[in-house]
Amino acid sequence: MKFIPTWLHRLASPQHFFGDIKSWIMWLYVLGTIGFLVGSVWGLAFVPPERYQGDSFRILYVHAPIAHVAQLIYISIAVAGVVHLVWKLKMADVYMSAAAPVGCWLTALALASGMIWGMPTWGTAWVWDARIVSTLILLFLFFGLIVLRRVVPNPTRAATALSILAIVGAINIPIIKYSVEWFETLHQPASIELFGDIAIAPVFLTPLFINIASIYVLAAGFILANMRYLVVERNASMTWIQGWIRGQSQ
Amino acid sequence: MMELLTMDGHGIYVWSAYILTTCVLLGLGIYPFIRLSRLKQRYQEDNELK
Repeated sequence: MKFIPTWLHRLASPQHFFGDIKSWIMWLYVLGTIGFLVGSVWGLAFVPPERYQGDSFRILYVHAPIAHVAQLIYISIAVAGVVHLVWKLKMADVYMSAAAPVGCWLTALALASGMIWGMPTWGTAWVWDARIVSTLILLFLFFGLIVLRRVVPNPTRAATALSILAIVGAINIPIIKYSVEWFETLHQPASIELFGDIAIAPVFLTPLFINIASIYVLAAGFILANMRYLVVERNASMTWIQGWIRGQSQ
Repeated sequence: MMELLTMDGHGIYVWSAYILTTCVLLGLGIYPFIRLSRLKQRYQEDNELK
C-alpha cells in the first residue's frame, strides 16, 4: 500500500499511535473548543433573528453540525468496517469501537436538540416523520455497534460482526439525507448542498460553517482519545504499555 | 442582556439546546481521560499485587 503516507502508516501501529497521538488530541480539543465558542457566541448574539422562526432558529448552530457529523461518523465506521474485512487492520477495529459511542451521543444530541427546536416551530417535540425516524434508526444502529462489541466474546468475531453491521447499516445514511425529498415531512429540506445552491442568507452562514468545522475537529479529538484508551486496554501485556504504567513514558 | 436571555420567549428553547450540547461535548471530551487514568491505576495496583 505505497499510496499511504508514512505518518499514516506509522499510526496504524498501536505502539506508535499511542506515543504520537496525545499531542494531536490536545490540539484538536483546543482548536475545536475555540471554534465552537466563537461560532456559538456569533450565532447567539451577533446574527439577526430569522424572519419566520425568530430567535428559535439559533438552535440550527448546534443541531445541524451535530446531526451532520453524527452521520459522517457512521459513514467512517462503515469505511473502517470495509478496511477491517479487507486488510484485517487492528486499528480499523479500534476505530469502529472508539467512534461508535461518539456517534451515538451525537445522534442522541441531534434528536434532543431537534425536539427542543420542534416545540416552538412545529408546536410539538416529536412527529413520526421520515427524517426523524431514520435518525432514530441511526441511533439504534450505533447502540447495536456498541452492544455487539460487548456481547460477542471472541474479539475477531466481534470485529467482523461490527464491520458487517456497520456496512449494512450504511444504507440508512442516504435514507436520512433524501427522506425530506422522498416523503411528505415537516422537516425542512437541506439548505446547503455540496454541489448545489445555498438556501441560507450569507449573514447566517459564517457561524454555521465555524460550528460545523469545530464539531468535526472536536469529534476527531473524542474518537482519538477513545482509541488511545482502547489501545492501552487491548495491549496491556506489551512492554511499551508496561513502561507507561510504570511511568517511564507519556 | 435580558433580551439575549429571553430571546422574545424562545430563550428557554435556545439556551437549553446550547447547554445540553455543551454538557454532552464536555462529557465526551473528559470521559476517555478519566477512563484511561482509572485503567492505569488498576494496572498499577495489579502490578503491585504480583
